[in-house]
Formats: sequence, structure tokens, C-alpha cells
Amino acid sequence: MRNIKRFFKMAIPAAVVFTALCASAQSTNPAFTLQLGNSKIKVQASNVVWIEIVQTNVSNHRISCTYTGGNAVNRQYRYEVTDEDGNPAEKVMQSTHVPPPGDYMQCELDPGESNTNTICLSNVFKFDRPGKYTVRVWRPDDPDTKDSDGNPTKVYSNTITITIVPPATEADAPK
Amino acid sequence: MTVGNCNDECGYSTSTTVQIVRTCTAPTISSITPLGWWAGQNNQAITINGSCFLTPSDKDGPSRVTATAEGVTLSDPSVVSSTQITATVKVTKKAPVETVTLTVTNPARSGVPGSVTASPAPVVLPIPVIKWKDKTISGDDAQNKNPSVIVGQPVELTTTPATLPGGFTVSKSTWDIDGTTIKKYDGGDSGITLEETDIDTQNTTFYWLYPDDPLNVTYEYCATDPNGNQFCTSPQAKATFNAKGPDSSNALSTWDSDEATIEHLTDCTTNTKSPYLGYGDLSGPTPDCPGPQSGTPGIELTASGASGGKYLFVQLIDSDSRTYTSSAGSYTCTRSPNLDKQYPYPPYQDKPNVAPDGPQMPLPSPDLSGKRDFLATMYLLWQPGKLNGATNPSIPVPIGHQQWQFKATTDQKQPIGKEKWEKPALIDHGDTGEYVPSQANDNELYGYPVFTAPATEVCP
Repeated sequence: MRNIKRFFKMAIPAAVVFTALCASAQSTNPAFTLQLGNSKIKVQASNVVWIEIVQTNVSNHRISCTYTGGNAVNRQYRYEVTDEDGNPAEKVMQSTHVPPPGDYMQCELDPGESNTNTICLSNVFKFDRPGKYTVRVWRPDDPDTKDSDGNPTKVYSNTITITIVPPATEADAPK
Repeated sequence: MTVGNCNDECGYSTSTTVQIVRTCTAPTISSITPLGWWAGQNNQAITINGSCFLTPSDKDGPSRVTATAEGVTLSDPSVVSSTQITATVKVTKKAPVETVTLTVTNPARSGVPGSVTASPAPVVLPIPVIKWKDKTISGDDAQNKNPSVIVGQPVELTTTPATLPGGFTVSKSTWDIDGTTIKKYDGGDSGITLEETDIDTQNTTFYWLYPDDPLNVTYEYCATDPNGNQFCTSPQAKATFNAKGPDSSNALSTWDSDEATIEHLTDCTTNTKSPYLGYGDLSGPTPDCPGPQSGTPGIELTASGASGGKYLFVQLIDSDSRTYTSSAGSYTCTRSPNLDKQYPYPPYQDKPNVAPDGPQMPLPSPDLSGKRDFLATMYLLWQPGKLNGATNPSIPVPIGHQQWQFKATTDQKQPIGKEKWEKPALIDHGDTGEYVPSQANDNELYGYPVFTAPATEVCP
């Protein structure tokens, strides 16, 4: 076996990063931008929702675009979904206790580069009720970018609205 | 009119007057068939229809026919009747696109003097010419007789004639292009879409996907005259290309870590370690926590052979399952074949020809055992960097693919719940067979990976 060790840049311990995130603010001078849009994936069922996230490095240094998870959900992003009343959307629960997939894929972006993730949002939230849902995502900013308290800040995407329509009835079906 | 007049020599004097009905004052041309004359063709039969043509049996006949234009020769004129003349025309290869001055003349002595010039005029329809990068690449005068291109590089071809005189139009264009080509490539998480090359347009832009030599390209056209008559088809313009690949020895090699381990990843909310069954040996944060992992991946796929351009990796899940067994029974989550995570699959930033992977699965503390059965195929694409003066971007082309697997299982040590796991048993790992160079007939996408979305999982 070839005994190689690859060491990726890790500026500060991950534990410190995430603990701080809970109290951190939105980044005012982020290392990257997040653009949220509708996916090109064709959906048959009305309650299957795909979104597209484009992360663009607008800094002058290399940043992470790491993908973790699976099941078409990158867990490096946090997903905020609210219904028409502003209430958080209900999350998907599995019938048996199965931990979410935890595959890791390293990814880095040089300045000016972009990376696109297509996310199956309905694997995280239930979209089984007709209505309009507001979606926004965020990702921790570059570890070197901190707020006044020294906490890494969040980079938010734009907000999009997803409309779930009632399933077609027999009466609606074309004759 | 007085036609006879005896004088004193006759002994008598008489005169007779005959009335002649003059039906023609001068020749006319009502049509010429065909009105378009192909350059580079001999013995093209033409028919001139009209009136007041003088046949050889007519006094002072026959009418004379001339055709005046560069490279055009009219021969063997035959006045069949007062309304029809036949002839043959020869147009040289190099005759320019032009109108022809065709004139029918009746001798002045015939009593029906005069001439007429055809209108609309016949038109010389030139041999088409294919141009690439503003240089002629077809015909005897080709400036570049055997152009070389690179697969994935746009081949932007233009043709002449673009317009025709005399009210003629180029009404149909037909290309015939050897090899496997596409007009457009679009890749994303929702799949790769291709567009067929335009073969019925005057100009065309396409990409060769696979290297080959020679690759013939021909072009021909039809022209339509002002009366709506179509003339098909022109002589062919032919060019011969040499499409080169990145290198003949392109390949995708695998390095296999040959180990499955219990990876202890750090939960950033509790700062505790959580066990994962992994291919290779990685450490770092759990999937919900930011930050990269470090260590040894399970597998690395390394592309080699190209001296320029860049590689793209696309990994497809062929099958994937993770099975957990608890005291309550077993449950399995499965993924159906589709894209693994994203398009393209990112390589190391500092080694853009190497793509690593090391599937991981969390091991819940109540479970007795965990098993992963992962089968994937990594596709290698290559995109040339040099545009060679083209205005369209280059595209990735298929190079090859390599299937690989990771199959391992582990049991939790007693007592259950302490999250102490046995060293995993590595059942299958690494490549499943030889690297396979892409072929145009691999699938309906000419050897590109076929997928529609990131693979999703079904759990009980």
C-alpha cells in the first residue's frame, strides 16, 4: 500500500468554527457569493423540489466548496425553508432510524471560479402541501473571515419562492 | 410592293404587286432552360425558346447565338425551328459567379434584322468553396489542403457562394461530414445534452469528438432562379481534415489504498468523535460541520497523456447500498444509478489530473453492524485549451472510463453502544477491470456519461 497522507488546509479547528456560527452574523465582505436558482432537472411529481446553488469565489485566495452528505443534499449548506405563514417547513423523517449519508468530496475554488450544486430539497423538507415556500441557503464564510467578535460569518444566498400546486385531478386531466 | 417590272425589252409593259405579310420584326427570347449553368461542367445542354429565329433553310439563316461571360463557351448551336434553339455550354471550374450575356442575332440581310439579349440572363452557378479560418480548404486552389484540428475544438466552416446574381438564391445547402460530430455541448447536474451538427445550413460549426484521419467534409448546394425553378445539386466542394486527440496514450489509472477503516470524525457541536466506515483513512469534521477532511482517500483516479487542455471527471453511481443491522433487524438504503454528487467531479486543485474518493458511512451506536456496497464509474473527459482563432468555446470530449468498487463491513464490539467497532473487513475494492477508452457507439450520447440528476437514496 502506498502510504501517502494528504493534508488540506484547515485554518482553525472545525469545532470552534461551528460553535461560533450559532452566534455569528452575515458576512459583509464575503469570500464567496451564493446564487440560488431553479434547477434544470425535470420533475415529474409536483412535490419533488430541486434547487441549484452556484458558489463563486470573489476573494483573492482559494476557498472550500467541499461537498458532504449524499442523497443529493450537500450538508455543508444550511437550508432555510418557510411556508406562506412564515413558519419553518416540516422536515422529512424516515420511518426507521437511518443516519443521513455521510460521504465526503473535497472541493476547492480558485479566485473567480464557480461551483454548482443541485440539491434535492424535498429530501430535507416536506413539500406535500400546496402553497408558496420561501427558500434561502447559507454556508459558513471563509474561516479567515470573522465578525467583530472573531466568529466566522455566514454567506447567504438570494431568496427564491417555490410554488407547489395541487395534484391534477381526473377532472383536470385532458380528455 | 413591286416585284416585277418589264420594260421595253418585253414588248409590253406590266406590273404585279404582291402583298407580303411580315410576322417578325426581330427575334425574341421567352425562356432559357436551364437558366443556371454549373461551373466546372462541360456539355450542358440548353434550350432557348422564343420567336423569329431563322433556321438554316431560311434565307440568310440561321440565327446566330452568342454567350459572353468569363469562362463560358457556347457551342453547337442549332436552330431547330423559328421558336427553338438548342446548344451546349461549357463553363470552366474557375468561372466566377456572374450573369451571362446571351444574344440571338438574325443577319441584317435576312429582311428581319435585329438581335435580342436574354432577360433574365443566365447565371453561372459557381463551384462551392469551403473556408476555414478565412482560408480556402477545398478545390484546386486550396490554401490549406489538409487542415489539422483538435477534438473538442470548434470547427467553423463558411462557404461561397453566399449570394447569387440575377435574382438567383442559394435555396438548399447540404453537408456531409465524416466522423462523430456535434454542434453544441451543455453539461450540468441535470445531465449532458448534445445538439446535432447542422448539415443543411450554408455555414456550419461543429466539434469532432474522436480523433481520426482522414475526415472528409463535402458541401453542395441548390440554387433557385427568379421563376422558382430549383437547380440541384452543385458540384461538391471537398476538404479533408485530420482531427487529433490529446494524445494516443490517454488513460485513467487507479491507485487503491487497499484499506477500509473506522474513521473517527469530529462532531463540531459536541466536540466528540463519531465512527464512520470509510474507504481509505480520513479524519476531520463530520458531514454537518464545515471544513475539509485530511488523510488518505480510498482511491485516486489519475488521468494521463494530455500535454495541454484540461481534464474533467464525471462520476456515476452504478449501485450503492448501506446496510445497518440492529437487534430489531436489518435495513438497507439504496441509491439508483445516476450522477455522484455533482458535475463535474472535482479533482485535487493542485493536481487537476487526479480525482480522489473515499466513501464513508456513519455507524450509529445502537447498531450491531454496518455494511457498504459501492460501485461507481469515473468518466474522463478532456477539453482543449487552444481555440485556434475560433469564436466559439471548446468543449469536453469523452476519453474513457474506469469502474471501481468499495465493499466492506464492520461489527460493533460488545457491549453495543460504546461505539467501539471492529476493524472493517474489506471485501472488494479498487478497479473492477480494465480502463475502457470511450467509443462513439458506447451509448446514445456518443460515449459521454449518461445521467439525469444527482443520485438519490431510498431508505425504509
